[in-house]
Amino acid sequence: MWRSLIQYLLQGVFTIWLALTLAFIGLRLLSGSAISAQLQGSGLPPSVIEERLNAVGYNQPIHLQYVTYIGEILSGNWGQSLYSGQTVWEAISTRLDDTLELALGSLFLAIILGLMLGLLAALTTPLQNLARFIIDLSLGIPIYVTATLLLFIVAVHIGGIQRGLLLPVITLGFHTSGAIARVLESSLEQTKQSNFIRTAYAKGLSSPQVIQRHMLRLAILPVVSVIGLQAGILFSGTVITETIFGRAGLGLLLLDATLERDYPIVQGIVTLVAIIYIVINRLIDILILWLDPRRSAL
Amino acid sequence: MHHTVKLMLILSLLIVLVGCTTETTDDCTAPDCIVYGLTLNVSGIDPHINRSTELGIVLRNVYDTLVYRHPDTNEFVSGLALSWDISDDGLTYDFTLRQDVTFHDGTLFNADAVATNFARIFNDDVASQRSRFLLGPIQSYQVVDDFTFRIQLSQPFTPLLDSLSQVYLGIASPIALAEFEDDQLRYQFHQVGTGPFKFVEYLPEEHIIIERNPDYAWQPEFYDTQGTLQRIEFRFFRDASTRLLALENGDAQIMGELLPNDAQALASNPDIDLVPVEIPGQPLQFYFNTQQAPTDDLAVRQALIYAINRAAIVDAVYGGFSPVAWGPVSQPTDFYNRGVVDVYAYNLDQARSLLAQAGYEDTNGDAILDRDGEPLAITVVQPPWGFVPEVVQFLQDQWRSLGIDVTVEPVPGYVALLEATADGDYNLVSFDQPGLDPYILNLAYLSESDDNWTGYENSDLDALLIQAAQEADAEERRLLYGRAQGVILEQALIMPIRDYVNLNAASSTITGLEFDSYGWFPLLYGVSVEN
Repeated sequence: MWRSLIQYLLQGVFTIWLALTLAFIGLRLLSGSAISAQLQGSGLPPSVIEERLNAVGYNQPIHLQYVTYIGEILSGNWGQSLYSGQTVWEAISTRLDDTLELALGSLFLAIILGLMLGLLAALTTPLQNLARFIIDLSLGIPIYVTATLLLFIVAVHIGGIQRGLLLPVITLGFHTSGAIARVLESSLEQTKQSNFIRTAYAKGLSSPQVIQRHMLRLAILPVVSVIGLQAGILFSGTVITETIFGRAGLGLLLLDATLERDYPIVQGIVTLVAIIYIVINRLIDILILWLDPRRSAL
Repeated sequence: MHHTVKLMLILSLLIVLVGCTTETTDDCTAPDCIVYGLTLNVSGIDPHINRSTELGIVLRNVYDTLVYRHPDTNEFVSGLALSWDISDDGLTYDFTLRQDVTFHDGTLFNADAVATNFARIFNDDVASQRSRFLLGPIQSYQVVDDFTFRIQLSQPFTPLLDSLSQVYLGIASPIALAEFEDDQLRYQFHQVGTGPFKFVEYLPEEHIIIERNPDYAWQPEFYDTQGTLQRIEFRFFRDASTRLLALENGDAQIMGELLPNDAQALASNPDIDLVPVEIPGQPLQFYFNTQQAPTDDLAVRQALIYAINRAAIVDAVYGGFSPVAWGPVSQPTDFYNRGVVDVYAYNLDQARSLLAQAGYEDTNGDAILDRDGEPLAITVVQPPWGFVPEVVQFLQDQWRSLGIDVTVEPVPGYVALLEATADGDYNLVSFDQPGLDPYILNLAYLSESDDNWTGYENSDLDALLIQAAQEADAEERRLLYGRAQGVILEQALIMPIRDYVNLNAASSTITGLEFDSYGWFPLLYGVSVEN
């Protein structure tokens, strides 16, 4: 028990380290720098620009910058935005609400919608093909198409709600639901073939009883883990959704910070998202243990 | 625990979490408060540090400047400075300051306050992106007495008054500045000026809020004092296609940079007024890189311009709202040279014969011209703003039909534009700056300038530009800058496309909306909202 817990923790720390190292290297591969971009055409003498680069440490060799950066992350001082002067945590915390709202709302919708669609797609009913078609749409259409369509169709006819939470949540929730539905569908299909289901039918249970008591209980487990995996995808979805709907969340902040080479902000968001992602997935692992009917018997 | 119960538990936890995140309420309602739509993300809104146009839209209303330019005549009129004396040698400027002005934080305005602002702009740690450049060859500044401020130049610099009238040299409260001396970037969240509106709040990417200054009584002569608007919330509408929708839905009452198609549609909409404003400065243009083949060849540059039909582009992309640009500065700019009109007007035959004279022909029948075995190929760096991508579509078609191979390199923003051009491996790049005084040309065309995108070096042009900045006599300046515009065109250093026109629109309940001489900046003090 303790050993596996420690292993979990170490794995998590490794993944976070990997994420922030990749973010660090990725940003340095881009040749631009926020400082020189800000000061190009400013008419300032080159010595001033040089001095600015020194002040923020971007003139140091890359391995030294890396050491400083890791040290900062560990010490909890994640640096300051090169543009707004806000600390990374300030910049993030003012946007976190908006993004959490969107992500949790979408996740909620995705779970409800995903379970319904998955169930319908797996069972032989008149709605089966329709459900499968909707799942295909959810997985196949790019998010920005749905977002733009919704924005126009709904905004033109109803108006005044672009800035609300509804449209972004529908967009992101719908696109997250597809994966959940698809996993539930295939996991139900598999469970259907199992011996214990055949036994259940043989006992004379009705179809709804079998589905509810036996099939769903087992088939739901892969769905729970896919929900954990969706957390990461959900975040990349918020980048697009927030950009299109103009919501000032973390996703938009990440996009702008990347375009402007605001290194501390990009690194901070990547680190935070990596941590959240790891925590969620670890929690999901525990949740699965709790939910698994075969384990609860132990 | 029963399985379904467990699932319900998890779902309800999610609902609680969603409910916990706070919902911000919008309390901006007419007639006291309006939403003003900005169009770009601003990466910083400190006028002494940053240089974006967007920041000026807001802060022109928060700061006063020492002098102003009258929007009707472009004459210099008094602002925080009642009057000024310029010495005969053009090196000493004495400003007599108003004595009845207080900052929003109650601090008294005086010559010391101005000096504190100048000290900040020249502080290397502040790393001013524009305001320091605007002050030119300044040697020193001094507080002569409580209400007299002196600027000493090392050489004559006639654009100084124009510079001092720009929001980038707005005067901030010395007390407020002192508070952020060790963290200069943070001042942008707590700005304090003397202007008609007070700065209330800035949440990046969310909004900027300003509210009326009830004590304001030192306005420049052209300010309309009848306005009643109390509060303005600036919000960002980055997606151009949603801007008209926002106006129609009442999500915003004033908005800049509408899509030309949307602007056309407004003709039949009685609830929204179109307010187009011409912008002085450089037109939307492409710089030719004169250091990179094949655009190092004058004939090729000229042929590329002759080959484009600007009237058609302006019609198709800008809905006819923008005049065709012919020269290095747009019509409303000071000392605009009318002689540029129709230079390099659309002429395919001329383009073909120039290319033929330069030795280009299609020897291998691949429909691409070549010379010495090298195909005629150009690379265009394409930023995302100002409908440049749509323009480039047309350019590509028109050049390809001539047998020119065109590679387009799209970049997502300004930093990427700098990266794409840093190695000099491009033929054209679109970039321009607004400004009323053609001094902006010095930044773009002086051989030594670090913003010289053309790479062109010509001591005659340098001499013209430098002399034009030093010359005190307006008619002499007109001649010098007129000649400079001629040289830039003769050498085909740029391909101008259209003069900027900002397609603003406002709800018809808005009255008194005027813009200043620089075009981009609204004067919101005179605005009222009818119910």
